[in-house]
Amino acid sequence: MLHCLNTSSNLVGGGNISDMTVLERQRARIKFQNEHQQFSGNGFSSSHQQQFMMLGCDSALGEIVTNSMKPDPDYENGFDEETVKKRKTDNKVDLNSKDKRIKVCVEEGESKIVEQRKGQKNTKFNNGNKNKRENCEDSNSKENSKGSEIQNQKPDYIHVRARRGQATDSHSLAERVRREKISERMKYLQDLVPGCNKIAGKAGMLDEIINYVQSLQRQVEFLSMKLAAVNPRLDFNIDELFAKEVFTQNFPTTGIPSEMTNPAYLQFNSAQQLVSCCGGLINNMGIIPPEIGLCRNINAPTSASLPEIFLDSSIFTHILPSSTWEGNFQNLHNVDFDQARSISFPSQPFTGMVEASNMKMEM
Amino acid sequence: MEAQQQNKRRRVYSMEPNKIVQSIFARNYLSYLVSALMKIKENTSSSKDHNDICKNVKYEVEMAMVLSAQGFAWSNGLKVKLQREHINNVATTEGDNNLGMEKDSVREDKEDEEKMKNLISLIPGGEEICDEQVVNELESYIKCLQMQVNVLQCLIAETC
Repeated sequence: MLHCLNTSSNLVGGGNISDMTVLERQRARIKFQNEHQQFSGNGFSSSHQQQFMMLGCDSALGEIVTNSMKPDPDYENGFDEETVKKRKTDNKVDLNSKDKRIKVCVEEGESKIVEQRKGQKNTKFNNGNKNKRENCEDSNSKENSKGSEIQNQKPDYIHVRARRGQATDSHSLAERVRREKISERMKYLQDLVPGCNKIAGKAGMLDEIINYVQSLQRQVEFLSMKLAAVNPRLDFNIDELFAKEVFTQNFPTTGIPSEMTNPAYLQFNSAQQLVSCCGGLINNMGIIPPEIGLCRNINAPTSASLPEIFLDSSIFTHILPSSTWEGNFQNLHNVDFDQARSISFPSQPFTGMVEASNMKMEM
Repeated sequence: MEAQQQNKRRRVYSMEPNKIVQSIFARNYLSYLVSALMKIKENTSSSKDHNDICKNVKYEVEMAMVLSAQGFAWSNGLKVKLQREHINNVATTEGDNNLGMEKDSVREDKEDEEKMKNLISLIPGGEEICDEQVVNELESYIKCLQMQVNVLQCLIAETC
């Protein structure tokens, strides 16, 4: 921020810093963005074009415009769509006052410095905010509406465009952004909560989710009580715990476990059987049965057998045709790779995912 | 200044639904729970009250949840709640106490907000979670709950 202040004061020829208020700097920035966009030949709303043409009449501006022709690819890419930025604090800029704009533009003779700085800031901004921008892309597509622009200086702001006939003050825009985000994530929740797909409305969905969470919590309570009752008789024979019966109990719908225990696999011990079963289950159900993780834990003392399973590509090529396997397979990786063992994995595409997922784990 | 901006951006815990959490969760959960249950089993003499055992088991169940799913806001909330209860030796049932579901609001918006509030109260430590994160936390919480139920069912099925 201090940089900006200094450069802008330089631009004014060492004039009063107080003259270049935040507002004007913002306007100047938007101005240059517009110019840039114009020259890169992107789509522009009519209002922008009008403004620009007005400004283009000024000869000093023409000079500035030609000076600012330095190409900035990142900048271009970042502003392909017309993005409207919204400031989180309440500073609004009234861009309809075109006179002020012209004045500001004339003052800034040395455009390159500002532009460079903006380019830098914007690339950072681009990298940091691609997610946020995507959320607003569909609203950005409504270009010719009565949009209101709100400028900002700081990079991490949310793009919002006010649609036609809607409230345009920053509070309601913020509210709308929030609501849109929430409704987007609600869609994902629909997948989580069984039976939520048919319900369309947000209220109904919320009800469903509340009921579901409550029922889950009650179930946990009930199960823990039952466990307490059973506790004296606990005999954690781990291998038995992971015998087939566990699978068949929890996944009664799949006939996979029985398939997997064909004679070719019977020679394996229970852990290996587990893995092969799991492979099939993952393939068909697209989820990781929790027992995979358990398997890894339990077999720590006899861990030598497991890596062999992973190395044995024959099992997995047999098991997996579908692509869902890929995404899930990285979990198997993580399950196994926490110890520093170099296991060369047969198929290459997974290494990248493993690294990515490891990075996530560090978070 | 830039460092501040970077820190500001790092508010989000997880960038996408965590598949990794699932497998690690189950593994950790079972390991914690099994060891805790073994300890309880050893410590219980025949004279001990059944309620005590229940409380202990419940505590361990939830503690295992906390420990297996660290990094989420709700797991912190759960940990705090458990510690408070453990100190006071009060086993509260997490039932429907917190919900004011019987309220009838006229306007739809208000109803929605009411429901959101109810939902947030269901998540342990939910009140402290900022609005943007609520849905993320909800996702992870529901997933972990599902897995917890799954694991518990397995355990019980095994030992019965």
